[in-house]
Amino acid sequence: MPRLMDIGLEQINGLLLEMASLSQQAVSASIDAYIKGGKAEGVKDMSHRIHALHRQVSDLSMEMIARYQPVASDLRFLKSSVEISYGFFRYGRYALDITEVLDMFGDLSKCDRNSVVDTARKTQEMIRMSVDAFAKRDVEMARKIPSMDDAVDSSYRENLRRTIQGKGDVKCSLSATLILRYLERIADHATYIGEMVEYIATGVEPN
Amino acid sequence: MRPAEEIDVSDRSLPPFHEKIETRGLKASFGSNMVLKGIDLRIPENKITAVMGPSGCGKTTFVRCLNRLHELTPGATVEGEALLDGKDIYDKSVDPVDIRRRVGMVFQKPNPFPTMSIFSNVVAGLTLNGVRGKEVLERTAERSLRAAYLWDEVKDKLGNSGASLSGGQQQRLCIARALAVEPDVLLMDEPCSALDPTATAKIEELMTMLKHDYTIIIVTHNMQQASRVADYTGFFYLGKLVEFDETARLFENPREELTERYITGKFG
Amino acid sequence: MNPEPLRATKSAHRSRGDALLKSAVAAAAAGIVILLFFLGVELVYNSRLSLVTYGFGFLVGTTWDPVHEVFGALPFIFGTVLTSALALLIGLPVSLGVAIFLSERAKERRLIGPALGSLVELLAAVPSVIYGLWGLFFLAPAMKNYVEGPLHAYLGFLPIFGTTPIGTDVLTAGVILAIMIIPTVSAVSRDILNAVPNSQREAMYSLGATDWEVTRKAVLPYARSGIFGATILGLGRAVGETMAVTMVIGNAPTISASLFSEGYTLTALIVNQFNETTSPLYASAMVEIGLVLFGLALAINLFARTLIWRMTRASRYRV
Repeated sequence: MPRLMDIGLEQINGLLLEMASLSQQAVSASIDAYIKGGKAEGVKDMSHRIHALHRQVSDLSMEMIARYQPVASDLRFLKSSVEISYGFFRYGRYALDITEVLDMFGDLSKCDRNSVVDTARKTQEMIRMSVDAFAKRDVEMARKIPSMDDAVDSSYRENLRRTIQGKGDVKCSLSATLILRYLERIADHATYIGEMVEYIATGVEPN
Repeated sequence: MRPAEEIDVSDRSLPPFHEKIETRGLKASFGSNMVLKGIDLRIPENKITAVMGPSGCGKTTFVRCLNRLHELTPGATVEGEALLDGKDIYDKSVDPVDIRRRVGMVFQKPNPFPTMSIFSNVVAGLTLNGVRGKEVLERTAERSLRAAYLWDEVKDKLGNSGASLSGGQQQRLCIARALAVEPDVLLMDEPCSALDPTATAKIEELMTMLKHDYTIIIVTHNMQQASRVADYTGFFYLGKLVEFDETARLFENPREELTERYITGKFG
Repeated sequence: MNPEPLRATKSAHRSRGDALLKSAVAAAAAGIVILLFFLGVELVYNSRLSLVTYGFGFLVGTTWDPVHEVFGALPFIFGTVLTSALALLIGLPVSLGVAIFLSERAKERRLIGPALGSLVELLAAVPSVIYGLWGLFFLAPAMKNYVEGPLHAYLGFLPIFGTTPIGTDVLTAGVILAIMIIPTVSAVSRDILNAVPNSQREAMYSLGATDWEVTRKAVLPYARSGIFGATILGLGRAVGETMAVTMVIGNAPTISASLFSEGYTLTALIVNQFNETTSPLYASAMVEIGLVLFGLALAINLFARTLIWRMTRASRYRV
């Protein structure tokens, strides 16, 4: 028999899944716009919607904790839902930031975008893994995320070094730096989401 | 969390503590019906330990074995050991009357003696043990009533009947009565279940003050109460101890799936 | 087809049946009350001659002389009161002991409790005349030889042991009455003690009390008023006992300080002389004796039941 609390928990879970899907789409749209040129479709709207959902999740979690005094896995889920929701919110936010870079810098078709694209694909994979791990509470998958984070980190730092050395076109290197920064931040959040999934399941505190 | 996942969880052993009571293979029966099926538990000294579980899990029986009240029921038997400060209270040489003075009890429904005044109620245990002097009795009565946070409310009506107080006051009177004989351990069997929230809050505050001088064991089915007052919590189910841990850890991340299911309300 | 008329008939039937039962039951209850009322009225009516003739003096007159038509009830009132008091004095401690044993102690040995309880209740089943016979042929001589004799020999200077032992005297009557009230008083007391909530005992135990301390300090004080009520109930029985008393009391209307003297109770008087009333005044005086007895028994019983009812309101106690 379902508990009173289950209604609220499912509601929060649904909101988080919606945020996951939206943020995934937003990031994909912004990366596609970077690769192919042109405008990123609807990223701004998606970002705003995700922000609104985040506030909803936050309020709902607080209400659940106050009303039901949850314990064990329920408590851990509610604690984590706020963090995870923030992570998806940041996905959407950074996707928006990337489109703003594209707007500002205009045509980047002349730049060597391979390393960024490569990193972007890895980041998108990390996003997908984080969403999957959350949706299925899959701890094994969650544990695979941190190793990919290293690749993204090193890509970002490599690019930073080259930019400092002043190699290549300013427009290209600067845009690449900014976008890589956002991708690196997204990857960090994906890692954190993975740690939250582990916390929900096993109670092991995130680093 | 066993047995649903095969996850390797970090070391969950309890930090060391000094125990006041230790039970070893404690079994209790009513006739042929075994209600406690071998309990091994260490109760920390000067802390509040909550004993929790669904109806019929044996938690009340467990506690009543600790002051040898269980055996007063016709046909009730006890096996195993229960050590108080290292000495088995069920040893042949031990007088149960002495144990019951050292291990006091407060009951679910307040039970002051209605034919006695408030004062007589508080010192009832003392007069049993032969204490007579008026001055000693008065001093002890005041001390106990103060310890139970009841003195200010009753100091001008000590001669009134014990039953003339409100429910919450009666319960504090019973606590004062139990404290007057200076026990080492205080057992509390769902002491707030008959009280309103305000009275409950007062008793809970009282408990957190008392634990500095006494070892307290509280039987409760109210998980919020356990998480408010207890330092340690034991979860009983069908006569067995399922899990015992620091309260915060047990409520945030229980080791046993059975515990998890019970405290999140997924039982039944 | 329209079922309405059928339903209407059925419920009409049922409510008529209900109403019939209700009035029958009410009639029975009312009947009892009316009976009691009429009993009282009859007694007053038939003793009006005596009431008018002697007034209050009836209750304090010490002479009962049918020949000269001088009727005073004091010796009989004295006899009733004395034997009843003796019955209580002897019977109460025994009853209490039995009740405490059955209620507090016999819990362990599960056979003794019900066995003893049944035995005690069996005592109540013995007909009054049998007690009387046993008293006359066994108890009275035994009392005379083994109790009264030595008491008179060694303590005869005391007025209560001052006269020569007879055997059929107020003391023996008191003993017989004690035996007869033990079943009632102990049964009621045991129920009273059982009605003391276990939480009281446990509270005392958990302070470190022994079994006896628990009984003395937690159970008995709590049961005080109930036991008092049981006592009064027993008193009521003693006051109303007829056959056994009259067979062992000697039936002489003496008022004496000695326990070894013969006596007479209100009940004994009626049973002995009800057939010999030779004049209307005699008959009326006899009825007035009955009225006195009736009033006494009623008052005692009412008092007892009120006490017991108040004590056991919480538990399901039924006499």
